[in-house]
Amino acid sequence: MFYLFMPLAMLLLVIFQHTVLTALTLNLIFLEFSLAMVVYAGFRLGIVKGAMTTIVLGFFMDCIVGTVTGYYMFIYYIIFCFSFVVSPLIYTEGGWAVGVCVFLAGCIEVALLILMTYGIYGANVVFDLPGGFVPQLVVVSFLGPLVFHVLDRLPVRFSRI
Amino acid sequence: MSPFKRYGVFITAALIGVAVAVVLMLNVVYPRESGVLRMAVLDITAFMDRAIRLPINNLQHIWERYIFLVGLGEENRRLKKQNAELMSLLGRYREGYQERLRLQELLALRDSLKYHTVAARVVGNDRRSVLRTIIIDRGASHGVKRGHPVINERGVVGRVIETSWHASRVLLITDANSNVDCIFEDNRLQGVLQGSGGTTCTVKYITKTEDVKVGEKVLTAGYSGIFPKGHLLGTVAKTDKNESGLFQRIEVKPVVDFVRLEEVLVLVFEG
Repeated sequence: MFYLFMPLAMLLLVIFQHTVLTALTLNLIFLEFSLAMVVYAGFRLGIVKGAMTTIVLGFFMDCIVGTVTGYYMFIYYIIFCFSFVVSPLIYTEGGWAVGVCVFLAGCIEVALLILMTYGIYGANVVFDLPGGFVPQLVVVSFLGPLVFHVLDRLPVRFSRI
Repeated sequence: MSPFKRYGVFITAALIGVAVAVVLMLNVVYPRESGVLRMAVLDITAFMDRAIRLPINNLQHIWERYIFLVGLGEENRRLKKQNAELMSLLGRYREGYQERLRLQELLALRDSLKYHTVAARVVGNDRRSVLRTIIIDRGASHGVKRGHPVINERGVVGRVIETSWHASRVLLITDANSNVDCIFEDNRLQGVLQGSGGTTCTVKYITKTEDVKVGEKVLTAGYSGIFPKGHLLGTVAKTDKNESGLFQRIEVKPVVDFVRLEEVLVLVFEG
């Protein structure tokens, strides 16, 4: 059941954040809720389910953003591993802890984006990317606990328990 | 307890990580045309974008048509005056164009690139992610292919980097991955216009000994075979010779307003 609905849910999430949320924010900010979803996968799902969710999400991000296939898959997988490793150490019922984790995950994403954009495309975005990413990162970090709250209460059981 | 059971999670994670890295490397080393799944996702996104933007655009138009009617008389007078000036200018340019055609015929020169245009509407504007791209509502079924240049009435917008059946993704000239052969209108210096990732571009490979004036127009040079010669890219906004190295830093402001981009033309090459 999980593997049947998960790709569809991830596709809808990516399209929703790219179209509806971007339109609602008047194209001023790109709210990357998929980042919070990856952190959630690291905290709540097992290694196989979490990795599959992350990879599928990364693939759809590659399709939407237009990057080479595997680009976001790799970045999200690294973030998933980070979340998976730190998850036993953090009490996620406290909202601020989730927010901090999402923020740290976002920092890792920005660092990887800069490195990989340079490595793959040969473009140096070290001065341009953080300026655009920091505001959206702060917003997503604040909304991260809400994402956890909603996903924990979904009818399709995402929890590993 | 066997080593696999003890370290099972780490081994699984490492194997999946290696698999993802291999997928990425294969796609970087052997770039291919978009697969069916990627094309389907692009088509769905373009459709959703269009559906969402329609009411927003309509509201915007209502605002522009009814609220901003104030000052229309003044603008009308200004436009009439400008029109008269432009008509006079057009007459002179027409003469020049006719002369160019005659000379071209005399010298047996031909434009190397033959193309026709496909009009497209911008349905998605992704200026906040790692690639500065827009999505247009024309795709492979309309003859649009990867590499085709995209312009609008002001100048060059970018080039198509991905197509699906009914939509295409266009890499804007402001993206850091975009490089366009360019030439300065007055002093005929040649360089490469690269996006800065922000709202401007820079021209590379112009030595410090050359004199480039602020406000000078930058046009496509037409060497790479992607952009036809003579399309306007932007105007020089700033020059800086204090940078280290052989070349000066030339900042160019694109003529296209990417924030208000609604319709574009795709130059579809023939043959």
